[in-house]
Amino acid sequence: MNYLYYILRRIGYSGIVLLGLSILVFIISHVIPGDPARLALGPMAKEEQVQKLRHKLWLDHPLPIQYTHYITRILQGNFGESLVTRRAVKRDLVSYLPATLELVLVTIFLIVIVGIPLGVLSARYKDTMLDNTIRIFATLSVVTPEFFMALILQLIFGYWLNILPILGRVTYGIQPPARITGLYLFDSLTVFNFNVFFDALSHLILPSLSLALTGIGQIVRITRASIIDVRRKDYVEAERSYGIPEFVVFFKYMLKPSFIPTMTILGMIFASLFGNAFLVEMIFSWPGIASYGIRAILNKDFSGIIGVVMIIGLAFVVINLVVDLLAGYFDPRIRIKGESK
Amino acid sequence: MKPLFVPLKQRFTLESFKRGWYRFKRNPTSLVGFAIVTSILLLAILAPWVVPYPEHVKPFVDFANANQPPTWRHPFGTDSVGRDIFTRTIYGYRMSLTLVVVVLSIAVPVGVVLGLVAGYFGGWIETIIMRSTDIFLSLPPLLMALAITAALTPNIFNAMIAISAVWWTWHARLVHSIVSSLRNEDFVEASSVIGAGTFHTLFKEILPNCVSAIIVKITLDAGYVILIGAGLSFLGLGVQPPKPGLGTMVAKGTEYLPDLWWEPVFPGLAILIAILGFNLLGDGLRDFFDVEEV
Amino acid sequence: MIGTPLLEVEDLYVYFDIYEGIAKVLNGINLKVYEGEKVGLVGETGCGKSVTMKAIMRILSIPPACIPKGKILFKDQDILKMGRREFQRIRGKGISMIFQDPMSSLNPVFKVGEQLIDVIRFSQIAGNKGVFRYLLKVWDKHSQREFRTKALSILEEVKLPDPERIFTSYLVQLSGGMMQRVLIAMALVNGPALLIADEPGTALDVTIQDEVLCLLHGLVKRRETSVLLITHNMGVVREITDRVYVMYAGNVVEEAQTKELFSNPKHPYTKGLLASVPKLTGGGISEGIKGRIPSYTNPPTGCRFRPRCEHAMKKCEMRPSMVGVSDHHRVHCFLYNEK
Repeated sequence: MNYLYYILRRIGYSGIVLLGLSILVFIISHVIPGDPARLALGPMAKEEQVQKLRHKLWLDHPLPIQYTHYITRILQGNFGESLVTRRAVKRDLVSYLPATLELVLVTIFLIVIVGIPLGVLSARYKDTMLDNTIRIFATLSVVTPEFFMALILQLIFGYWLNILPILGRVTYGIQPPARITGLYLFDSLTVFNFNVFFDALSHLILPSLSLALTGIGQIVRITRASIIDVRRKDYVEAERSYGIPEFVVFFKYMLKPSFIPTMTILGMIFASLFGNAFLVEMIFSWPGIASYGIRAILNKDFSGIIGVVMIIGLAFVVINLVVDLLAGYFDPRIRIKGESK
Repeated sequence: MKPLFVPLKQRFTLESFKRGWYRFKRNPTSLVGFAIVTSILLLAILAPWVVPYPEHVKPFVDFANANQPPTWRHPFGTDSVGRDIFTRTIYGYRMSLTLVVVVLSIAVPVGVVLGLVAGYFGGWIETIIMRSTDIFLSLPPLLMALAITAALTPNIFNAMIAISAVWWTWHARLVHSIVSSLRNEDFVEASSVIGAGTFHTLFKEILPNCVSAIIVKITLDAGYVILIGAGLSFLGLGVQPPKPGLGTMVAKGTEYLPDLWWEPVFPGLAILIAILGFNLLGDGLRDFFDVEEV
Repeated sequence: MIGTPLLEVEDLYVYFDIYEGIAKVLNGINLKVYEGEKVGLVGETGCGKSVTMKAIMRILSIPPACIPKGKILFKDQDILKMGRREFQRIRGKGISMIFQDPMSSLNPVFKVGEQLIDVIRFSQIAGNKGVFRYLLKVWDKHSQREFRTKALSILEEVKLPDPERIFTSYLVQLSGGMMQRVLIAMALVNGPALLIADEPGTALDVTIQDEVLCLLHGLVKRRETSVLLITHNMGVVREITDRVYVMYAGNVVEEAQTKELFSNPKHPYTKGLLASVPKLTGGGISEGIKGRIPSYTNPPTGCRFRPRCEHAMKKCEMRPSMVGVSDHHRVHCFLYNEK
């Protein structure tokens, strides 16, 4: 019962954050110097055309009314028309989102399969050569800027060794698979089109590695730290003293409690990846939502900006919610008391 | 449980300094971090007297020497208009450090005060302040800073404002969490019982307990502010050419990949080393002050 | 006191490597526990009782601790020299322990029943070839039922109301008293020969502590388990133990049968200790002992109680030897001579 209230509270709270975000974005967009309508039509347009567009965009109404209109539209999923692409922003979002989604999912996958085992090893063999090597690696991963990593990877694997592609999602000339989800890996597998599958995969490697690097470093550190922290706890000592063998103590009784902080950080990384992907997207010419957002910002594309920001914000909030739910599942203290520590 | 309340005079004694130094030394990487940060600071401050080609930082062209690979005369090579990249990188550090100083001078006081207020008074003040931080943090900082910079005119000055606008949230959160846990400690109640004003309690009793954590955070922040600044410059929203900015140089340099690889790589490495240095030093300081909350 | 002791700690030294130097915490401890006995180990906080206990259970973290000298014999085998797997067989089944703070001694993320079953399950598997045995046992329905029955019965034995419910609960759903009983259940379920109890009940309310101690007393009596009770509470010692060792700053200073010790304490420290316990009868405010425990990195030479002792002599700068004062009553002090 407590758990249910906990979840409901979290959902309500997320809603408030999203609302606040929409207000923030609205305010920022209206601070933009310059008249969006004139910007859209260019300096050559006649004054009446500009006025017409201003009216169409509701720019001649007082701010609170504009906001109400804007909020209602958004809740209906209508973000208006992009000044850059001249299409409905909604359509743009739908076409660009899967690219980023696929990239982010592969990145998370990499972070988990590389980061967690390394963190566990590092904790298990604490203070040995292995541990120190892993820790150095983790520190270097955390401090390397993503765009730098992207550049180096492009340089080494794309140019000098020339074994991996560096631009786009598929090689020029290859048809992407018919769109079911927009995730090329998934779509191509469903029709058993292995050519495209491997091509898309090879295009995914370098960008996701660049994105994953920082995350791997962070996960290694948090996994190591939380295992070490749990290891010091009295109950671990107690379990050993009852005669429970070391491997059970480690793999069952230490890993489960350590997993919760790791999962929280993983969730944070996941949530922020959507927004942080843009530098990598730009370097690899990845047609994703983050680079679309940057273009919108640079071109003062009001509708585009709102669309992207709300989507990224939504992703962030939803993922955090899921992480909290899972935390409640794994840690009975949260579930039963109905609150986080 | 570590005793939290240590009177100010006792807290910063020679003995505690010696202990802290012992803890700091235990981890060799902290010393490496210290060395790196000190070197960067020195280089940045003494730049005009130390660099081989100080005039390359001002508008300068020398096409005869353009696009040279690294040599003894030009350890990092030259760029497309013949300027020495090594010189410009050092000046880039100057730029980055200025950024750090400005951003943190704004963000830290604002964040700390708001955090103190939120943590101490609680109630709806706390709710408003903390929810605002949540909203600001729901977008990745780089994106937020980007949006703000783009809304204003893209230049390094506005970039500083934008980053500060995002950065205060972390300090507010940090201080808020420390203060909330201290709020119920006896010494706070004792302070008000003897009639100390709120102002006094906040600044003389509670704040000193946060100082160590804040210092550690500032050190770690320095690296990340440099990173964000570089990211913004990379997109053309920070340091504008021809001024030397690390991110700008990397961006410009990518156009010349793969042949003139030294143009983006060395400035990029410089960014990496700076972040590494501050990170290691920050970890070392965390050991020094024996702080867990950061 | 016949035959060989169940547990014998022989001349044990334990040092810790810390910032200020090397802390010589245990300075040659000698103690014995015979079968069926209940032995108390008393001393003030910081005298080294917990370290002794951890050394016996081999749960000291080495480093920073190290054992430069000494033997610990359990059933005539030196457990300090045993390999990890060999000793694993003894933990829980030969020697078992009850911890001080029940709240931090149970894993909060797992159900109580599951932890209890694991304790039972692993008593039958030796060492690490348990990996596969463990997996097999997990799927073996018959053993599952066996374990569950055994678990529920021990929970009943510790007088927990509604064992079924406790079985499926998490730590956070239990009260202090219940947690302590669960800990006792876990320690006793495999029928160890020796039970080490570290300040049992000190984390609880006095009334609950009393209940728990009664329970413990009854259980060990019924099962004929030997007990090494570690505490600073003289009242508990008097109630439960047959024999007592008094520890001060890493040394055993006096050992005697309980009645004898309380009626006839010999060592100045023991006298001071007994005098500081408040009494309901006999008027007057209890006095403490002047001074504090010495530094372990720079301990006084010879008798470590010397700086606080009223009767300190020049001789006391040498290490006193154990002197037998009467039957089973020995003192570590120059004030007395062998009888």
